Amino acid sequence: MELTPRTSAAPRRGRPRVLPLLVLGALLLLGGFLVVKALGSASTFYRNVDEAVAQKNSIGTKRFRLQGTVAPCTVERTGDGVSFAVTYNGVEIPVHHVGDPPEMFKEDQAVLLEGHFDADGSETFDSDLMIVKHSEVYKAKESERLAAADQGGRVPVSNGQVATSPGCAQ
Amino acid sequence: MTTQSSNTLAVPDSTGSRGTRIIGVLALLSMAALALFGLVLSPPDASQGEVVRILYVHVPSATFAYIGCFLTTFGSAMYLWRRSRWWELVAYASAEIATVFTAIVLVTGMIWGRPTWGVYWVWDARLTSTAMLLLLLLGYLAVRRLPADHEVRTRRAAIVGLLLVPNVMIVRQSVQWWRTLHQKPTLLANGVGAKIEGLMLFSLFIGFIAIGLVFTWLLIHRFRLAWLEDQVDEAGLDVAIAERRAEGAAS
Amino acid sequence: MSGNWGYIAAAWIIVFGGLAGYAIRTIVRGRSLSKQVPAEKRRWS
Repeated sequence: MELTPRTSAAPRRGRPRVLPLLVLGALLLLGGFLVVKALGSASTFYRNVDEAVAQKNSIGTKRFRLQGTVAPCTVERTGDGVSFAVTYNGVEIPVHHVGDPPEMFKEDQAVLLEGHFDADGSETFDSDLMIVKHSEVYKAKESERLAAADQGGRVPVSNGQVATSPGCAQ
Repeated sequence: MTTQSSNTLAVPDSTGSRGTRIIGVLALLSMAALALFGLVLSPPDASQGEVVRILYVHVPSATFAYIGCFLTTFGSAMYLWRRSRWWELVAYASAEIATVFTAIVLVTGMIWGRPTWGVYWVWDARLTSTAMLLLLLLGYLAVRRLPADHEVRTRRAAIVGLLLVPNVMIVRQSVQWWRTLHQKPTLLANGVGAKIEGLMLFSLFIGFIAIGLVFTWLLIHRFRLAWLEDQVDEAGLDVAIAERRAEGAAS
Repeated sequence: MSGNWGYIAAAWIIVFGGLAGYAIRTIVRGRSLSKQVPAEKRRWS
């Protein structure tokens, strides 16, 4: 119940109090400044493979996020995770990922990898966190299957690309 | 409304009216249709599988959270500029509803992210700016309810309310301005339906109608509740003044 | 893939449950406050 008499309120009604508004405004400006700062650093949320390779000398073995597409016919299970090649803009580098890849990890899938270049100076990327990057395109599974049947039975899973590696020469 | 014009005793003790009952029934029916199309009739997505069904509630909730923020900013401006108490109540009511919807957007987005991306949360620009939007909305509600003179509270809240639309713009544009994990917009890219097909698009369309009706129903009820709160507030103030006068007369 | 229905159920229950809960809270508060406000000050529409 908010029926308690507010004794201080009645006599002062209508007179604007400037100071609290100024303090609030200053706080909000500070918040806005932090927002811009925080979002400004979002422009380097990840580096694409070609950029990372170009900046390799300055990056060294610092930790960063790498974005690229899983190259077909390169995925291999290892004892502690998975190894594959990741490609972007024509540049391809090998990746050693420690840990289980996410469920939606597959060839030709865009992924974000968190980790660093290998300490031996090669272009190998050691990753321990993998995030699958989803595209904004939505397609029904059923119609894909029907289209596939029309084309003679090969079953594409992701946007018309073959998911597993039936075509990869081992 | 035959009962209301003549007889004051017939006014119901609630925030409902015939209009809200009609909207309410339509909202329930469309939510049932949304469940039917979103969960049963629409196909699984080629790359996401079944989890795409979460987006039929996630995306419309986001849109109406934005609309709620827009109403709050517009109402706050009308209050600061024209001293309109009606618009102040619209701003307050839609801010609370936008808070509920933004929370729903964040939670459903996290639940979608776990099976799709592999993580619940990432500090990318889209997710971070949406979290900030929720904080700003909570700030609006806190400032509006902070114990102070009524006019001080409403003015402070209205100033916070002005910041909501800029924040929404940042959320909307974040996927274009910065590199984000969150995908770019699907619906308004290259014309409606270019990147999403058939029954999936239709399910999303029903989602917009259903969530929109729920939003409208909530907004009307919450506005009337805010009006009642104001009336009780003022009555309480009158009682307080009367008591002080009585005290003064007695001593 | 079948395990993902758990995520879908959780999301939909949160949306439907959250909206229903908020709607009920609004209605209940409206009813209790209505009794404190004279009828001539709450003629809707």
